Amino acid sequence: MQPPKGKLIPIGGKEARGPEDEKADVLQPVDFSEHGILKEILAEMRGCESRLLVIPAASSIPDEMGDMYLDAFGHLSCPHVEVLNVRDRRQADSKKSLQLLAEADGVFFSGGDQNRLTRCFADTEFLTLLRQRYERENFVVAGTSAGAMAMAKHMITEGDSAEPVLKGLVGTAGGLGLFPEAIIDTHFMNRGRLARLTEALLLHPRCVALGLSEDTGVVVSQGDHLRAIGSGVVLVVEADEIGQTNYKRAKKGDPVFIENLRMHILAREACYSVRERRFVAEAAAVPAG
Amino acid sequence: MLVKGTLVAIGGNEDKGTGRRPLHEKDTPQKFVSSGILFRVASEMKHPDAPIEIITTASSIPEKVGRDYQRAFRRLGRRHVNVMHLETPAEAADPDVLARVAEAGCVLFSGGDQLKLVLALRDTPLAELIHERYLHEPVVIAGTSAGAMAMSDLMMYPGSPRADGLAPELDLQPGLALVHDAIIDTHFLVRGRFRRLAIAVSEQPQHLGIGLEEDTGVVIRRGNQLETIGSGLVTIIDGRSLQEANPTVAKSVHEIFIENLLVHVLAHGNNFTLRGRKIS
Repeated sequence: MQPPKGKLIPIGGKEARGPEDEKADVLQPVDFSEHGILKEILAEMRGCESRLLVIPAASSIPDEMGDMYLDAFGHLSCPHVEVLNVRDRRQADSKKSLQLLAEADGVFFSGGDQNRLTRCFADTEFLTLLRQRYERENFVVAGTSAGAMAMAKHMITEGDSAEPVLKGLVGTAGGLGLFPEAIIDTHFMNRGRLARLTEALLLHPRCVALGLSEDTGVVVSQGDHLRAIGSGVVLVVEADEIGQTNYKRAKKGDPVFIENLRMHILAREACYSVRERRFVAEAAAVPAG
Repeated sequence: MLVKGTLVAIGGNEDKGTGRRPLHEKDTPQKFVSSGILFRVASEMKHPDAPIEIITTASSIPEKVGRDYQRAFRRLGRRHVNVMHLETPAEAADPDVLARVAEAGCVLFSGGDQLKLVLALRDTPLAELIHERYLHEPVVIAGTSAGAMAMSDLMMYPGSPRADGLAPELDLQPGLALVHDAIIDTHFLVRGRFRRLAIAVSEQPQHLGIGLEEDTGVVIRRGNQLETIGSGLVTIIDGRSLQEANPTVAKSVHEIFIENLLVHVLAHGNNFTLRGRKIS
């Protein structure tokens, strides 16, 4: 199978939406108009000329959310941003929606509720076209918070944050399946979600788990190569070498222990290969063939 | 040499039997009077009637903190609970203080500011006495929050904000060195401290990172055998494999790349050996 030609950009939420959002109290402050997350998204397409479709389908306040991103991309002098406000599968497959998708260089899924997002696009022509464009063209699929979590095949649907690993704490359901090798969690360092990411990984141990901090994301090329962007860090957790654990025999609600989770921390410009399970050189390798 | 004392390091906010719901009540609930953290501290004492000395030096509200612990241990049936607040190394050399600690069955360092605690105690006759007794006698040394962070040989301390507005750097200061080759962090999950402990471990990879959640702790016996207690989770970060240099990373100019941390997640009742770095 050919690796996808497009790029995925999952983001941990609360990405800077204007110069006023630049954070000073982070390990590596990022200039909004140079290396801010939204700028990085545009850079993966055609810069300020990019035609980007903002899709606030996960949000309970889609109109406000859409306006906010129009403003945010306006700060970056990107005039070709449109909001596609669809609330259900019928609207997702409307002629207008499909037309806008066909003309765009990329889409941006807002935050909100990831279940609402997947309900809206499950088994739609829209999703089929999105996947085709991602696989065959230099097309960008970006998403923040719920919009990032939904990119996975095994999407985290529930689970309390600051709690120990307890069996049965976390549920996963079918996501949009654009990034089947990863489990994605967001708002990561800010909300202490290590336990929930870890349990989701134990449910699907062949995946790698990505914990995206706020104002932090990864650009995924060829469905494999991650490059960190933004002001925070990305935690990568691998389950391939797990030693002792009671996870399989634990009953629901039992505390779980786990030996030998392997973790990496990526900061801006660090690159990691999901297939090789290690840090790699900065430029993505040219795909064979 | 075999360490005779027992150490109990606690992540802060342990249940004090006041009826306030502990943070992880839903998770691995412990009964204050029969399995909670302070019950475990008291029950590790060889002589139940020996005095407990609470050292409130780290705290900015020592009277309240001292009273809270006196009440908590009284609820557990312990009568001889005394409080001492030592502001300076001179006070930590006071013969009366030394005499009390020499008789104690348990010494507990309260939370607060770990640097305040270490500056008042380090290299004093009191610190030496605690150390000697910990090595040679079945005494219990407990510490919560800052009092736990101060126990390791390297202690995390947030530095002052930098002039350029960047995040304050995290300093590693010498601690009281009751636990060797370890860096202890507390309030670990609720305050999202994974990153800061991971960075500390990556700077000092021969040191094991021990992240203690609130109302959660570790009992360390013989200086080596660690047992997890309490309602939350203990995260152990092992940075040994960081030294397997990946040439890609070695060339990199960035500071916050950390490849190959081994992480263990422990719940109530799990045992771990510090020297073997394994679940046992």
